[in-house]
Order: sequence, then structure tokens, then C-alpha cells
Amino acid sequence: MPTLTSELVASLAPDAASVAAARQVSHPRQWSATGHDDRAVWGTCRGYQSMVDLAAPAFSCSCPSRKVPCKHALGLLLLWAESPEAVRDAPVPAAVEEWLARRRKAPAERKPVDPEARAKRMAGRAARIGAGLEELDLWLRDLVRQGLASAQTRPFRYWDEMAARMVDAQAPGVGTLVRRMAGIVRSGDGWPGRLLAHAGRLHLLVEGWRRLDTLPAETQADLRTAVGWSWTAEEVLAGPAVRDRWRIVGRAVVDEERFRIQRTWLEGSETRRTALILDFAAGTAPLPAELVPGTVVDADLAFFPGTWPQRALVARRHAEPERLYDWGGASKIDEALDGHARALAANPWLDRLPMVLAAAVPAGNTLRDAGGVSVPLDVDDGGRWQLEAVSGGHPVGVAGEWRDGALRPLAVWADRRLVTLP
Amino acid sequence: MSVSWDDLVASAVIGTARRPPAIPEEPRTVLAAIDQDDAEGAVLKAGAVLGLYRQAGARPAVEDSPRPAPAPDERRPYCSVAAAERLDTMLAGRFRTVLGEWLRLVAGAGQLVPPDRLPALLHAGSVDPRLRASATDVIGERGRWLGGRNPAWAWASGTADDDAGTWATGSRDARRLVLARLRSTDPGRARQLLASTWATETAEDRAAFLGVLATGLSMDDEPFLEAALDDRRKEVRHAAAGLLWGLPRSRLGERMAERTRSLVEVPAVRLPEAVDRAMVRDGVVARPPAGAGQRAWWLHQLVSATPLSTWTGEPARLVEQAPPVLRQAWAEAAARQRDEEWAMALLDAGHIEQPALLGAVSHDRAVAVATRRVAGEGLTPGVIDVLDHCPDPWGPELSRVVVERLAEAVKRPTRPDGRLVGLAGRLDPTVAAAAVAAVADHSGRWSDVVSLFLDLLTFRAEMYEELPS
Repeated sequence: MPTLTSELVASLAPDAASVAAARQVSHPRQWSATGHDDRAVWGTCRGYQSMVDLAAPAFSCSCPSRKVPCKHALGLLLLWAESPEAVRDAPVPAAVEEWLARRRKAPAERKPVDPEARAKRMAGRAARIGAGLEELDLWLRDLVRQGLASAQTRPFRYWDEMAARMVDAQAPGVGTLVRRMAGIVRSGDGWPGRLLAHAGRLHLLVEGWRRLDTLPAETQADLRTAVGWSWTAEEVLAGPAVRDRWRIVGRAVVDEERFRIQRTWLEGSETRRTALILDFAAGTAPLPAELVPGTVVDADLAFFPGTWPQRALVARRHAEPERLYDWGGASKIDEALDGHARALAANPWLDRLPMVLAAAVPAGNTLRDAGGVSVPLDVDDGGRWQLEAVSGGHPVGVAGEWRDGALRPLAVWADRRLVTLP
Repeated sequence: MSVSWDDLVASAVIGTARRPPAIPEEPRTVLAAIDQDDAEGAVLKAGAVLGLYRQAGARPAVEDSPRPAPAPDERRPYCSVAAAERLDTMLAGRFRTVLGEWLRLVAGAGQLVPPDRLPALLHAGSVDPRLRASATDVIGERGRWLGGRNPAWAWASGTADDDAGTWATGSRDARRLVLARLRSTDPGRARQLLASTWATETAEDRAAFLGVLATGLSMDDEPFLEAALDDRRKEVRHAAAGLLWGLPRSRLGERMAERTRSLVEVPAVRLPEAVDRAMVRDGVVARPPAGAGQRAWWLHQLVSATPLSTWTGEPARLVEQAPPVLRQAWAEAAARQRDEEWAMALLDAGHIEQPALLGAVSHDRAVAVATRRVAGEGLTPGVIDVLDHCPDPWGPELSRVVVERLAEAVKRPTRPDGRLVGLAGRLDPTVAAAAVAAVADHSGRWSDVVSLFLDLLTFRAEMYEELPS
């Protein structure tokens, strides 16, 4: 854990309201049975027992809050940051020791994998996916034969049923791509061109899958990723790792029906590579909070295989995260878009790409670089004004996600500080 | 002519069942390999390739329209991170009542609100106009710049307001704000603005706008108000009379003095026989409130509206001799006419059923009176009324006495007055530690009230620590 400051504590919070709530439970008189050692800090507030594992950091609290960290855990850290005399070095209570032990316990020894059985399982799945994709191809060809004009009269069920068939065929990634077609049809001017390009890319997926064995390993991996056949952590970690001082430049959390997805974007300060850490949480379970935007961490990242590796896992951390003091990014929007073109040339199924700009000026719903090149922003009113407030019409660093020709800004860098956008 | 992307899309829209598709030839290196006999496959493959080309190659247009001038640099420092997080708490809705005090403290410390907090603060100011005056002191150049960018925050832009324009065309609330703001800086101009459109305002607006004139009220307003006594609508006449009752040198005041001189010869009092039309014009209400005697009610109103200078002699002596009906009316008159000598006489005699008297005396005296009452009687409902009227800042002495008495109140078996919590918003923050020590261990019984009180007081004490004064 770096030297604890209230700003750093605030950066661990899931949202601004949590910081506010934590402030209300960060007063020495509200805490009892507090203490810390070099691994953890703990205490009791209003009857709830809170503990923080400083290594991760990870949080535990007996309160009923669904937020992680909850206000008590944050309040405890604020208390420690601001009133160190209230949290003394102390022997670890049994409950805390147990929790730490559970957290540090090495994962149970796995049964050795039977390579033959595994190969058989994989071949079975590949065949099921192949059969599903053949069905998809017939459906796509039928769409083109009937004409895209007919697509506009199709009920949502038409798309949804095909998407569901792809999920049944163990190709959930294709299911998502099919379901998106329903949205494209209703996306206004120019939809036929967008639908054709999208359908064409699905067809390309079918074609690729048919001759999967003849393709380079990286392209095979791209196809596998596109159909939604995920990789195990062991598979990913077995590959080579990239060490860098990774700047954590932005984070997006998306609520799905039954789970939440967290996309954390990193940029290597030496390699200039970008990386995406994906986390999922079911229902109200907490999302990992180890990678905090506005910090930088010296770590090895293991990238998922592919021609344009983007998604990664943290294989090893060499040091505790530190506050971010420098910013990278492309100096021009065109430079960033050239990077995207190279990425798409390598892997046409890439959907969402990071864009990190060194200096651009937001105004209204556009972002303009020094050369006058201007891209549309995908922001709501709150994000738009937050951007303008932080920039004040001056160039600022911006990190975000590029998709469908617009930039969704996630964070803005100004005065050597990263402000995350709502 | 070569086949274009648009031709390909048109083919796809119509459908290969109706017409053989038009497949572009460029880029030849990729598209030459397409099997033209498989019409659907050719459309899909060409769509994939060209769609990707177009997506990867799309370049945004270069804009040369001028950008707005950037915000000037700040000349003052930003407040600390801790202070900014305290602001977040209040903007998120907790301890919202303290926000105005926080803004004044930041301004007093010569600091600014950091830019990333400005949208939330400006929004708060747009929703609650009372915050605007203190907010404009701490938003800096960046805040003014944002005020010029977002019409909803125009109040923050610092450009000269178009008062006359807003008055002519604005909404009722906007006009009322213009009038209130002008009234506190240039009362005469506000009155002239109101007079300029008076004849065309609705009765409801006339009454509402008159209420705004209570700020900065002076004899300059008297002719306008005297004329309003003849308004068509009762609400307007009453609002005008209410203001004139606070102007002892007004013509209304003279008429009232004329009426009461024949009725009152301290300590003797004669009740009026009737209410005539002239009295009604001057704001006297004939019908008494429930429980009051009719003629005593008439006398009460007449004396309340009579200039206190009508009564010859030492106020203290007069108060001592007077019967309760006179004292009550005088208390009301002293509060309205802001007559310190009479207010002090009434307060010293212990007749302060009219806590508004505290508004008529100097700040030091008001605090001294409140301190005496709290020390003498404890935090009774009546004393809490007095504290409500005691102007800020209370200072350490009054605050200390309140904390002492609060510690007693929370020890009693009866539930403490809920209004005690609000006192924590006004106590001098230096007594916070003493308050925690004094009431924390009684928190068992009335812990909800006690913890709300302590949370609020501690919140403010920490706020003061964060900001140099």
C-alpha cells in the first residue's frame, strides 16, 4: 500500500456518494477496537467489524451494504489516513487473522489434466460451434437474398431467436453480434451500409471457422475470442508476460441484467501498449478494486492470445501502485485512429478500442486536437460539463473507448491529476 | 463506371433474389478472389471487406470554426482535497444546510472550489438561488467561464445582468430574484423597476413583489406603499400596510398615533369602540383570531402599528407600568420598527414572548440576552424560539452555555426537543470537543438525537479546521 492519503482512499470508492458516506464514519469517536499491522487494518464502527487487506487491497465488513468497499471500510482507511494516532500497531485479532489466511491460501491443487480427454472436449465444442455457424451462414445468405429492406419489418424475435441459437451452439460472442443487428436496423440514416458490413463480418467468421486449422495460431485465437470461447486463466498466464509501468487510465462499469462488467484500461508507459482488464461480478457481488484509475503499477501483464492482443490479466505485481504523475497518449487524433486501423486490419472483430490522447480540447459534444481534427463524444450532459469544467477550454489528456465512430470519455487528465467521469 | 460501395449496399437492400448484385472490383487484391457465381457470398464478403476498409479508413473532418476562448488562469489557490470531499458530502445531500457556511468560509480563506466540483456546485446554485451569492465568490475564473457556456448556469457568469430585460420578460421566479438582488444593493432602483410595471402586474404578483421590499425598507418607499393602500386587492393592501407598520415616520404611522393617543395614557387603556374604514385601509383586521377579545385585538393592532416615539417617557419605566396588552403590542412594534431602546427595555423586563425583538437590538446584546435566557431557563421550547432568532455568530460563551444545558436535557427521561439538533448548525465550532465529552456518554437513551447533533457539530468543526480563517 502506498502512503495512505484521503485522496487515494477516495479513489478506492465505487462512487462519489460512497466517499461522502465514508466521511461520516471516519471520526475517531465512531471507532473502537482499531489496529493495524503491516498486512491489514481493522476496527469496529457502529457494531460492524471492518477489515482491509492492505496487499490487494481487499475489504471485508459485517455490515449489510452491497457496495465494496462499503463506507465503513473506506471510513476506516480515512480514519487511519487522517488520524493515525487512532489506529495503532497491534496484534491481529483472530477474526482478521482467519480472513487473511483464507485470502492468502494457495488455490487447491488441481487434478492433473488428462490431455486426451481435454482435446476431445475441445474438438466437441469446436464442432458444435461450427454447426451453429453453418446455420448462421444460411440465415445470413437468406437475409441478403431477400434484401436488407426486409430486415426493417422483422420483429425483434427474428434476431433474438438466431442469437439464442448461437448461445446454444456455445458461441455466445456470435449471439451478441447477431443481437446487435436488431439495433443497427433501427439506428437511422445509413443503417443498410452498417448492417451489410456487420453481416459481412459474421460471414467472415463462418468462413474462417471452416478452415480454422489452416490459419495462423493468432488468427485462430481471434476467431475463438470472437465466438466467445473464453480462455482459462492458466492458459493466459502460461503465455509470455509484458512488464511495464502500467498507467491505469480509465474504467467503465456496465450494468447488465444479472451481472456487471468492469473494463479497466491500462497504458504502458514504456511499451506504449494498451491493455484491457475485464472483470465480472454477478448480481451485487463486488467488482475487484485493485486497479485504480489515476495510479500506476509496475506489473507483468499476460495478454490473451490473438493478432492484436488487447485483453490481459495481471500476472505479477512488482511494486505497490503509485499515484500517477505523468500522462502518455497520442498527440493527435489521427495518430490514434491510425492505431485503430492497424488493429482492425489485424483483427476485424475488434469492437471497442481504447483511445488515449495527450492533449485535446473538449467543447460541447466534440473533442478537438491541436490540428483541428475533431471527433464526436459519446457523453451525457453530466460527462460533457465535467469535461468542460476540468479543461476550461484548455488542452487536456483524455482516455476513453472508441466505438462506432465516437469516443466515450472515461477520464480526463489535467493539472497532473486524473478525474474520472461519471 | 466502376461499382461503388453505395451500389453494393443498394444490391444488398434490394436482395439478390430480385437482381444480380453489383460487386465492386477495388481493392482488386482482395476482391478479385471472390467467387462471383455465389451471389449472396459475394455480397457478404465484399460487404465485410469494404465495410472494414471504410471503418478503418474513416477520418474525422478538420474543423476550423473558432473555439471559445479558454478560461483565464486562476489567481487564488484551490481548497484542500479534504475540504473538497466535504463539499462532495454536502452536494450529495448530507449536511446540505451547512453548504452556505462552507462557501463563505472558503471565500474567507481566499480559496477556490476545484474545477471538477464546479458542475455539481453550479447545479446546486441553479436549483437553490440562495447559494448563488456565496458560490460566485469561490467558483473562480473557471466557474465564471462555465457560467458563460451553460445557459442553466448563466447566473455564475459574472457578466452584468440584464435586470431590466429580465424584469420585462422573465418568469415570475426570475423577476422575483432580480428584484430581491437589486433590493439588497440598490433599493431605490428596485422600487422604480417595480413601479414601472405596477399597473400591469397581476394581484398575486403585486402582493409577492411587495413582500420583497421588506429588504432595504426605508422612508423612500413610503409614497409608493401609501398609494398601494388603495389597491383593488386585499392581499396587496395588507402587504403594503404590513411594511408601513415598520416605518414610524410614515403618514400611516401619524394616523395610528392619532388613533392611539386618545385611547392610551400609560398605564390607563381604553379599548376602541369600532373599526372604521380608515383603519381597515391602514391594515387593521376587524375579525379577531380565535380566543382573542375583539376590542382588545383592535387595540393590539393599533398600538403595534403606532410609532414608539408617540409614547413619552423612559421606555423602561413605561414598560414597567404598562398592562400586558400594551407590552405585547409594544414588543411587536419594537420588532417591526427595529427600535433598539424599546426592544432592550422589553427584553430587560423579561417580556420577550416576542423573540423577534432580538432582531431589533445589536448583535452583542442579542447574544447576551440569549445567553442569559439559556443559562437561566435551560433549553425550553420558548428558549429555543429565542435561539432561533438570535443572529449568527453565536460566539463561544453562548455556545458553551447551550452545550451545558443540552447535556442536562439529554439526561432527562423525556424526549428532547427535535429542534435541538438544528442548534449544532449554529454553535461556535470550538465547543465541539466539549460537546462530545459532555453528551457522548448519555447517548444511550436519546442516541438518535444526540448522534445527529454531534455528527452535525463535528462536521462543522472539522470544516473549520480544514479552512484557514
